Order: sequence, then structure tokens, then C-alpha cells
Amino acid sequence: MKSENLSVTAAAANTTGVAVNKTYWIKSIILLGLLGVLIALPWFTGYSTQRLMVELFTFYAIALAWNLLAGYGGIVSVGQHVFVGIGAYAMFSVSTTFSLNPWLALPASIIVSILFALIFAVPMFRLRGAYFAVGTWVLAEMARIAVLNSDWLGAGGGIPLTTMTGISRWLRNAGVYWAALAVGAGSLAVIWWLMRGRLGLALLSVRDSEAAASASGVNVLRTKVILWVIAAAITGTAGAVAYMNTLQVSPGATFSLNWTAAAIFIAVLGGIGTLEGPLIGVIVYFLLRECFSSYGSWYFIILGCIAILTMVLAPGGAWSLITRRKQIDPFGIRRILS
Amino acid sequence: MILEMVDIRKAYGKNVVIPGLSLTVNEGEFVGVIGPNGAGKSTLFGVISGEHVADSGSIQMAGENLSGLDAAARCHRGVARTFQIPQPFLGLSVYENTLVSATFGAGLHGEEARESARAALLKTGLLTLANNGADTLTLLQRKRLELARAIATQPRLLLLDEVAGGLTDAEVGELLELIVSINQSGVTVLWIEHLVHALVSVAERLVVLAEGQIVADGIPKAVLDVPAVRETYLGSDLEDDEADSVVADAGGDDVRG
Repeated sequence: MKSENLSVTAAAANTTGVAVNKTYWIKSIILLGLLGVLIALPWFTGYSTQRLMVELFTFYAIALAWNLLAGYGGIVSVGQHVFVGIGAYAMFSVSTTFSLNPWLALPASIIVSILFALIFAVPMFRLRGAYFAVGTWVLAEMARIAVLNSDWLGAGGGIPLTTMTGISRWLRNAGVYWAALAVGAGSLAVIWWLMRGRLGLALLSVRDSEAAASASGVNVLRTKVILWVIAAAITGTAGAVAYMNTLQVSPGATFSLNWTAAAIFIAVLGGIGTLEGPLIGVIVYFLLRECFSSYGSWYFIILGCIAILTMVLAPGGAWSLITRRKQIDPFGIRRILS
Repeated sequence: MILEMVDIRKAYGKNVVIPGLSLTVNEGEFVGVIGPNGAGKSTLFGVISGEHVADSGSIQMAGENLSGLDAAARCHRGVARTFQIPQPFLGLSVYENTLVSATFGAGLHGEEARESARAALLKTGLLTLANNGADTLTLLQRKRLELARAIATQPRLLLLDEVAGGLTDAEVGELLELIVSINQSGVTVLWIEHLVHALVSVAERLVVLAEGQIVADGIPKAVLDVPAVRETYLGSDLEDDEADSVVADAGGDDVRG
């Protein structure tokens, strides 16, 4: 009886194994094709398209990070722009101080963002719920004021990216675009990989019930702090890349709440707590912006109305409109018992 | 002994739920816990499992001081609990729910974790629903999932909070068998249940709580003979024989405090 059962499950595992392999190859080929097209983009598009794509990828990464925090960790941060600023300033100051190629200075953004996140995790994670949200905003505001008053960071005038001079216009635009592509695709890959592993399982349980997760042996606080640090690294790097094109950081623009507002809008629109949501959200966000941004303040009123309508009519965002009808899992992060 | 609580006090603001409670449980014991609603039973479990922090008093498990450890750390040391109001991970599948316990509670990896999660589902009769979303489960199935998750942490001390409510007699019978077999494998069981007749049929010790204090503690039959317990549960005007038959037949509705 037992051996029969075993052979049956073995056979079943085998057939599903073949099926999984086949879809795996199809998915891989599609992904590689898409990646190839995206890499080749600078050779057949103009600068304005490339700049738009830089914005799209960096906004996407920041929204993905915010969504990871809020959707999986239940950590609502309204001060994620602090990491945009920290990451951008880290890269700019390291690059200009050591006359280093800006691309080679990007790791400084990751390292400084992680250190900043670790240090401020201590006071921040003493706060709960709404207090945490307010705390992150205050943190971002304090960082902005501190930078504004730091002469070695250029104070109110900021820092120009002088190390970009001497690099041809085409190469600069293409290079920034590739960096943005790497940040966008890389952050998705990192988060996808994490979600499939132990941390992902822990995060999903914390998202659904902290009390039950804790009772099941999940270290909730540690899980959240890891999440906070990963989100900081992604946001910081995306921030640095976003400012490579503008060649100038300044406290007002770089530590601007608009970054976080856009990230929240993208995540809410696409679907909080899903990997797919921000992808849909960022596309919708840029479509809206390209179509309606000439309407000035009406554009923002429309954005706000869309966000409110989404929250009321489809709280799970655009992605939930699809999963409501059919359970699909394109990223394959669900664990199936065979 | 596996659990030793001395002078535990727990209050929510001005509302003192447990004014001072001492309880000792030996390894391998099967202890039933009864008491009227609001007697502090679930709060007691919360204090043992680390969900709530006691205001004062000491709590030790197998000689180790638990105060200062959070729920996850206590789970790692072998405390598992079910929630009276089920708290499944609604966004996960039934299998993933138990996989969380096997992975983080029992500290298992890879195939071992998968196998342990699967075994817990098999024991609780949820295996056929393994890949369904936990949000599709009925209330009774959710209660079984609570039990499955607790088992999958591979506990030494299992705290069950009303896992039998709402079940049919046949289902209660199956559940009793499962819990007895878990107990016989060496796991200490503390079980809060309103179905007194089910509880006394398997528990070797019965603890009665009222207003956060232990009013009786001992062999079930003797405990149910204590006048104060009879008064609370059965009405003081019953004759002995009548009372016994009520105890034997008691359904959930008859024993609410």
C-alpha cells in the first residue's frame, strides 16, 4: 500500500516536472527576449524616450520597494524619499570628491542607504502604526534640513555631477538608461528571489497576521527590519540613478515628498501586496502622466480621484481585478504541495 | 515539570483579568481548562504563549525563565497555541500556512519542512485542501488549520483554545483521538473547552478558572464535585446523580457561564 502510493506520487511528480520545465523554458525565452529589446533600446530611440524610461524604471523600483514595505510588512512609510535623497547624495558626493566615474560610485548609494536604514531602524521601529508613518516623514524632513545646512554637501545649492563631463551625450544617456534598467529589473529579480525563499514565507505570514506569525515562530521584528533595509537599498540606488540624468542634486527636489507620493499612488493603483501590482501601476501612472500632465493642477485632481476610486471600488488594485476572476501566479512564488 | 507559573498578574488598564495565578504542569500531562466566559482562560494562554506580557509574576518552562521572551522565541522552545478566533494566513494556501510553522517554528529546511507540513495536514484531515487558499476554508476547517499549524511547530507544550466548538459528535470523537495521540507521543496538552463532557473524557486533570483565579484543580471527577464548580456549571440545586448525568451529556450550551 505504502510503496504503491509512493510510486504514484513519484509518477505524478515526474509529469508535473516535465510540464514545469516546458513553461519554464517558454517563460525564460520571453523574458530574455524582452530584456534584449530593452537593452538595445538606446540604438533605436531618442533621448527623450530614454529619459522617460529612466523615470519609469526608477519610479517602478521605488514603488516596488514601498509596496514591499506596506504590502508585505504592514510598514506604512511616508518618508521613503529620504532614501532617494540619501542614495543620490551618496553617489554625487563620492563621485565628485574622488573624481570617480558616476556609475562606479553607485555602490556607495547602496551601502550608505543600508547603513542609514540600519541606524534609524532603532528609533523608527519603536513607533507603531500611524506613529511610524509620521516618524518616517519627520526623518525625511530632518534629513532634508540637515543637508540644507551642510556646506560640505553644497547646502541649499546642492551638488552638480561634474564627473559626467567628458562623457559623450549618447553614452551618458544610454548609460543612465542601462543603469535604470538594471535597477528596475534587478530589484524585481531580488524581490522575486526573496519571496520564493524563507524570508518571503515569513513576510507573507506577517502580512496576514502578526499574532499568528509570531505564534508560529516567525521573528516579526527581525523580518520587518530586513525588509526596511532591502527597501532602503533599492530606493537609494533608484534615487541615485534618477538624478544621474539631471546632473544636479538639491535638498528641495531630492528629498521631496513627491517621490513617496508617486510610489504610493503606483502601488495602490496596481495592487498593494503583490509583485505584479507595481508593474501595472507604473505603466498606468506614466500613461496618465503623458496624456494629462499638460492640464496642470487638474491632472493632480484626476490622479487623486483615481486613487480614491481604486481604494473604494477595487481595494486590491488593478491586479485584483484579474485575480478576482482567475488565480494566476506569473512569478511562481506560490508553494504547491505535490 | 514543563510549566511553572507563580503569582502571574495581568490587567488591561484598570480591568484586572488575572489578579494572581500560580499553576504547575508536569511533562506529558493532559490538562483541561474550564471556566465561565471572561474567566481569563484565553488571557492565560496569551501569557503562556508570549502574546501578552504579564504585569508581574514568574513563568518558567522546563526550568528556563520565559519572561522577556516574545511569542516566536517561546514557540522555538516548544510552546504552540491555537487561537480561539482562528487567525489563518488568508493570503496563503492551507499548505503554506503549515509550512510557516514547520519552517520557523520547528526550524526545519527544505524537504523536511515540506514533509512535516504535509504530515500535520494529514493528521488534521486537511490534506485534500492543501493547495486551496486558506480564505476558502469554513470556520470548522479554519479551526482544524489552527491545530495543524500548532502541530507543525513540533511543540512540547500544546495550548488548545476551543478547537472542538461547533463540531458534530463524530467529529469531536475524531478530534479527541487525534489530541490523545499527540499527548501520548509526549506532548503536554493544555486544553480550554466549553464541551466539558468531551474534555473530561480525555483529560487526566481539570483546572477551573473564575475571575482569573483557580477555583479547583485535580482529577476531573473530583473537580466537578467541588460545590463552587457545581454552582457555576450545573446549578447548586442538583442532586449528585443528576449532576453526573448532566456532566456526561453536557453540550456546549449547557455549560456556558
